[in-house]
Amino acid sequence: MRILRFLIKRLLYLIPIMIGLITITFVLMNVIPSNPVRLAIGPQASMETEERVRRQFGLDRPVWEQYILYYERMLRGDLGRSLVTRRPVVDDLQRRIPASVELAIVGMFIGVALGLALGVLSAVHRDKLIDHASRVAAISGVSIPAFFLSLLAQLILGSALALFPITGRISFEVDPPSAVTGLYLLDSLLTGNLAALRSAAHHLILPAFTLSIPILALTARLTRSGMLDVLSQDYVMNARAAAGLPERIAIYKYALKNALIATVSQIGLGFGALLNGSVLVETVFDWPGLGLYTVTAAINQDIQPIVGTTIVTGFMFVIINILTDLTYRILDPRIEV
Amino acid sequence: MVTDSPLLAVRNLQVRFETLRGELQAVNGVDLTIYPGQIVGLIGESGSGKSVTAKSILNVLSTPPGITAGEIWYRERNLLDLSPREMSKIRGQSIAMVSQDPMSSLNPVFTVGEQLRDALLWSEIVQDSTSEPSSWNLIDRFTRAGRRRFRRASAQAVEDLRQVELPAPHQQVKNYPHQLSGGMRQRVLTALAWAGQPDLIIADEPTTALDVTIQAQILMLLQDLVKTRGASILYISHDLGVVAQLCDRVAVMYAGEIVEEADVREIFENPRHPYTEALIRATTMASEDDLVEIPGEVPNMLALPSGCHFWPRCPMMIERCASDTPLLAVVGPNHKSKCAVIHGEWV
Ligand SMILES: Nc1ncnc2c1ncn2[C@@H]1O[C@H](COP(=O)(O)OP(=O)(O)O)[C@@H](O)[C@H]1O
Ligand SMILES: [Mg+2]
Repeated sequence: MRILRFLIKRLLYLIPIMIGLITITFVLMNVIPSNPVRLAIGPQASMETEERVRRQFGLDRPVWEQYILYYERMLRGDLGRSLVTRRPVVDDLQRRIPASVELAIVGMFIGVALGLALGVLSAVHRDKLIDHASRVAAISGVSIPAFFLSLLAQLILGSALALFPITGRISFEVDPPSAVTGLYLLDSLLTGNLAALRSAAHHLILPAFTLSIPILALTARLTRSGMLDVLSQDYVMNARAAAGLPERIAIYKYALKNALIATVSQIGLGFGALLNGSVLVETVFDWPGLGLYTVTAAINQDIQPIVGTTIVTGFMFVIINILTDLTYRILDPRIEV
Repeated sequence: MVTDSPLLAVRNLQVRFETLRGELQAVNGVDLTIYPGQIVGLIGESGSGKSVTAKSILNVLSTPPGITAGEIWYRERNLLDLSPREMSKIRGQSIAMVSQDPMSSLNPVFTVGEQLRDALLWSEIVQDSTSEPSSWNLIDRFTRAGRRRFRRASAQAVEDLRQVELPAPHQQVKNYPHQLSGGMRQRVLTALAWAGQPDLIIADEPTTALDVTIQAQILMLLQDLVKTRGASILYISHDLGVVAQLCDRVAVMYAGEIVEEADVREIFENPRHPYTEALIRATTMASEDDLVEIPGEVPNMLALPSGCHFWPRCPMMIERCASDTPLLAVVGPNHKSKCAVIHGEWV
């Protein structure tokens, strides 16, 4: 009940956030000193054509009318056309969002899982070898730029050792699984296509791992300090001194759940780092996702796709934050909605 | 009631911490003896080393101290010689602690029912001599035997909460600690400590955070449990009034040392150490819920005065007190005191 109320409330907040996002993109489009119509029709087209197209898109109307029109288009799911791909932006996004989401989910999963393990181990074996090693790893993880790490991974694990493919989502020799969700791993599982599953997983490992490093470092740091804090609490000592529970249960059940609350409540921040990283990682690994799409659009002054990805990314950011807050609330019974 | 062989005998316990500001001797040569069925009070101002003594008996000091020396005999075994595995079978099953602060001693993110259930479950596992206890049993809801054990422990949890007179135990097991009042939480903690059927309970100021009425109820509860289950209690407090009401025997602690020890009547009628006298005077003068205050400053454990540590605050002090260390000497029947001055003379 408590959880349901929270969800409804947060989903309602989504409305003003989306309005804000749409408004910002609208303002940006109007202040950027470029001529989208000219860019769209090309330098050869005549002035009359430009006028016609301008009228066609309502660009001759007053700004507030354009603003309303802009909403109308959004609601129809019309995000314009990309100059580069010559396709509707919505179609491009439909193809690319699953690629990015798959990479982000797997990257986030690897980062959080390894980060948790590392953080807990460092706290339990405080000031021992594993603690120092994980601190060095965490600091390197946040300070090495993602593109450098990507290149390094490609060079060593991809080229020199030839353990992993360097680019793409799936091998050319393998047909992609028929699209259900667009997530290759899931789709190949659903359709029982093992060849595709193997190839997709193989291609995913390097970029996902590279992408996971900042999250891993953040999670490890948060978990370690949260765990240290909790381990010194009376209730952990009491689990052993009063209830007589074995140390393993006192640590991995009674302390860990409390430490997780602190970690989860801040992990949403890590998603920002993940999005940043994905632009670079996708570019280096030629991963056909949103990041690569945005970079290509930005280089070509292709405004419509940028607007599209901005709105989609903003939306995902909000959803991720709702999910982390939700987890946090499920873990901590003291939080009232 | 008192038989010849003690249940617990602490001998010359030493606990030292390495702190950033230097070495701190929190417990210095403490002797304590508790017989079966006895309630022994350990009193002293805050910071005198009572909790450290209690925690080192159970080996649950949070920061490992530099040195823990001495002997802690429980029945025929010295607890300081036990392996971690053997010690973990003592904790909760033979000796259990009810701790200081009911607000912070229960885990905030598990229901009280689950916490009590885990304690009961583990106790059953440890006491089952047919197999070596393993943490796996505490999460095993996958086998039939495991599920049966869980169900049994959950039912027992409700029963135990009823025994500590928690109202509506059926509902309370589903509640989280923050949904309970302080007194209710203290009852849950008491049930938790009794879950393993220990024969010694160490109660570290279990009523400090509670108001007077609730405090009295908890004390009655402890007394009842001792009577019905025949266990002993080491009752730690800074409140002499409570100790007078509850205990058979009293040990007074000052700056990490026992300074006086006697049966409860004897100590109140015939206190021999000036610190004990000051404590008694402060208690009788203070109104019910006032803080007990003794003139002078609580000693700095990092820089203890030489000689008798109490001399800077002592009204009976003579010159030798600042240089010579008095011994804990027999001064009467079952009565020891660590003050060497009688009628202004060092004896
Ligand atoms: N983990 C620790 N590290 C360093 N010093 C400690 C630690 N625990 C307790 N002490 C010190 O030991 C002394 C005795 O503390 P304690 O036993 O808690 O007193 P109390 O009699 O109030 O229970 C105090 O001076 C306290 O500061
Ligand atoms: Mg204390």
